[in-house]
Amino acid sequence: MIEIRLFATFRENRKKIDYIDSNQVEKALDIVNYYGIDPEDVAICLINGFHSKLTDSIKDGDVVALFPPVGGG
Amino acid sequence: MRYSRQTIMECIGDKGQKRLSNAKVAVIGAGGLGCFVLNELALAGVGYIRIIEDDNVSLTNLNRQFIYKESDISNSKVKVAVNYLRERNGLVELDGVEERLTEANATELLKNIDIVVDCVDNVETRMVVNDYCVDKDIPLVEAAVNGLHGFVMAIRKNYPCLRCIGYENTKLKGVNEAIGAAVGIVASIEALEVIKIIVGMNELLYGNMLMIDCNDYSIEKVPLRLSDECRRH
Ligand SMILES: [Zn+2]
Repeated sequence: MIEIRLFATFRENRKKIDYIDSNQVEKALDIVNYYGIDPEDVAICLINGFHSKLTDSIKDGDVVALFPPVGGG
Repeated sequence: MRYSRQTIMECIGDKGQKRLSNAKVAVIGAGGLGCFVLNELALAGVGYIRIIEDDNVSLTNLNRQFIYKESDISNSKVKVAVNYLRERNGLVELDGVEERLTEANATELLKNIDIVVDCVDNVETRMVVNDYCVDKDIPLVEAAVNGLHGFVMAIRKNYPCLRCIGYENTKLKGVNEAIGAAVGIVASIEALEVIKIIVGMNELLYGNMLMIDCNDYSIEKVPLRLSDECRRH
């Protein structure tokens, strides 16, 4: 299983924490598409806490965290 | 007497209060986050506060930037903020700098500062502040807010920074959403982190991104890792 953690506005109409079968996805981008998130809207993607690109591959047991832009002061 | 309600806290005490009064803090940005942070730090007795901001007060600030009044519109935020804070705590030395922080002036504007607090509203300045503090190993407390969501981080040389999480690629779209009640929550945590670092408390945010969700009122620490691709680590 892959654990998906969505933050801030990505949570709207979605779960905060979700799980996807690792056979269903190869890259972080597949997860973004699965949730109907525009890849352009992903400001930060962390895989197991490490900064990652959406094109990076993911494996069983990974935790993928996705953040939209948050930058106001 | 002024600080007695906080010095009776075991985690602060007279020793912590002394550390606060000896601390030199720079607050960059006196907007939404900045107003709350400046107020909390001045009232808590931080001895020296440098306020770095080049903006003037505008009408759209007034839903959250409580330091400024209608009659302050078009006036320098730094000047108004210094006067406001001086009236609230005359023991604090206030230094207003009416400039925008850039790579070129960072060394000059942040000279002799113990802790930097970032309250700006743009990625470019955040990266300048991030790079300066990581390079010089000066504790940096970062926070940002958009609508009902915000984050707070504490950064130092040996802990993950904004570049470690790829924050420089963040593209902010349109006008930032902001309501004072939510901005204040994020800013109060940012100010508290500054106070905890100065006093020397435990449970700091180094190595984590604290995500604050004012929609469902949840708050969680996201552990971060140093990145090989970070230009500063
Ligand atoms: Zn870094």
